Amino acid sequence: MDSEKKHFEDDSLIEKDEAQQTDQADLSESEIQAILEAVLFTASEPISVSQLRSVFDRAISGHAIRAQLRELGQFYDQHQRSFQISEIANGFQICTRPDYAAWIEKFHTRQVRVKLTPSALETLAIVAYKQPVTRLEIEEIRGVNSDSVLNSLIEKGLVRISGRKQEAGRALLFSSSNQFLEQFGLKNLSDLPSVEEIQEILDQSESDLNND
Amino acid sequence: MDIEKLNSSEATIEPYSIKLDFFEGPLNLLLHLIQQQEMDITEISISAITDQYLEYIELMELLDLDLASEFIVMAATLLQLKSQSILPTTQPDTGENRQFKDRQELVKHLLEYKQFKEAGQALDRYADQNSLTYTRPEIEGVSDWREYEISATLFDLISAFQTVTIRPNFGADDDYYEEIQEDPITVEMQMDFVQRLLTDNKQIRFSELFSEFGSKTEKIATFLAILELVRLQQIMAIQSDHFTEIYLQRKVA
Repeated sequence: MDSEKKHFEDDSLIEKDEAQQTDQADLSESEIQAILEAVLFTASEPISVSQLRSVFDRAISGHAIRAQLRELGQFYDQHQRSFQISEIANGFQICTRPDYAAWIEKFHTRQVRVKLTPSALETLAIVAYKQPVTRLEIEEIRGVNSDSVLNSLIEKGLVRISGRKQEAGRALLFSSSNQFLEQFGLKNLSDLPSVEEIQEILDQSESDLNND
Repeated sequence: MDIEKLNSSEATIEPYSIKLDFFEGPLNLLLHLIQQQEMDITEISISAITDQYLEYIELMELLDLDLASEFIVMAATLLQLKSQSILPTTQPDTGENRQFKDRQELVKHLLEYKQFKEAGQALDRYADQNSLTYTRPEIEGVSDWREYEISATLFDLISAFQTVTIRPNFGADDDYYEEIQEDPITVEMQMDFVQRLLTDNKQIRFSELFSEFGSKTEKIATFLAILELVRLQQIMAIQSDHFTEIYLQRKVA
């Protein structure tokens, strides 16, 4: 259906195979955990399990890597560290907990948050949920020309061209990018909110507004 | 509504007329009106909503907002639906030239549109939440995890292509006849395609270019396009180790 998901499934397929293998590396579990921590600590973007495996020359299974990351995350939780291990954009990343945002912003400049217009948001939602999707299909749902809004989403790196339709005309197909997952804090595409979740989120933010 | 007047105002565009189509469409306006009236979409009165819609359009006209043609089409559709709801249909209506066949279809479409609009709003909340977590900015020297990249050779590329093509789905629904399709994918088209992809993305996986919806001829054209772009030094093919995934990058001058 879409490449992002496909890669993700590929990853997990590989993992299943290798979960049965015994880990050949001469490293203890705590050493593996420390190495993973060091790599994530120095990384500025989410690192996929497959990328992490290449650190160990693929001698460690994806399954084992996930287990170590989980343990490390639990350690941070138990010791109430200000940072955590987040699963985001088909990978893992060390990031600070939201509670400390205000403090961080006292020292560092506040990070730029891409603010999208309502029409950009709804277009992005259509691409995210219906991908791969053509411009025409987007315009059918929105009932309005979506050329410029789509282009600006591509410029921002949130939407990417993912192929061409097989049928006559060979229209370009659009999908969401990994950067989209990153900026919206999603693990992967199946992490997109469901219809019920969307209602919950909107009801919640409405009551937050009323309480302010 | 005075369509002629609209057309004439379109002809003499004010230098500072606001491009409305960039922001919102007619469905959005309908939803806005329905919400304003605190109506349930499934229970809208076509007659009432049509009147309000037209009033709004006139107001926008008055403000000299550059109305997208979609707004006019919707106005016409609403008027037709309205007359349909008032008058008993005397002749079979094919509904050919209209956006929506009947009220039910309009409601269905509005509900679908609303779903995506709300999904967009929910995603906005996600981005809000996510902006509260901080990650490490890029550090000089350790900025890229693939520091130890090596360039892929021609043979690495061919091997990678082989892996792609021996997948069971290679040209699965490819008939013999597809070889003489009307608009064949050319190497030039694919070169253009790969370069467009690389303006949007810093890096793409080699396999990504082949995994989706491709016919056999398209895959071959894509592969030749990659070779040509490498030869022209427009892109680089790199991998972290032999026989691992190949990544394509724009060549930095």
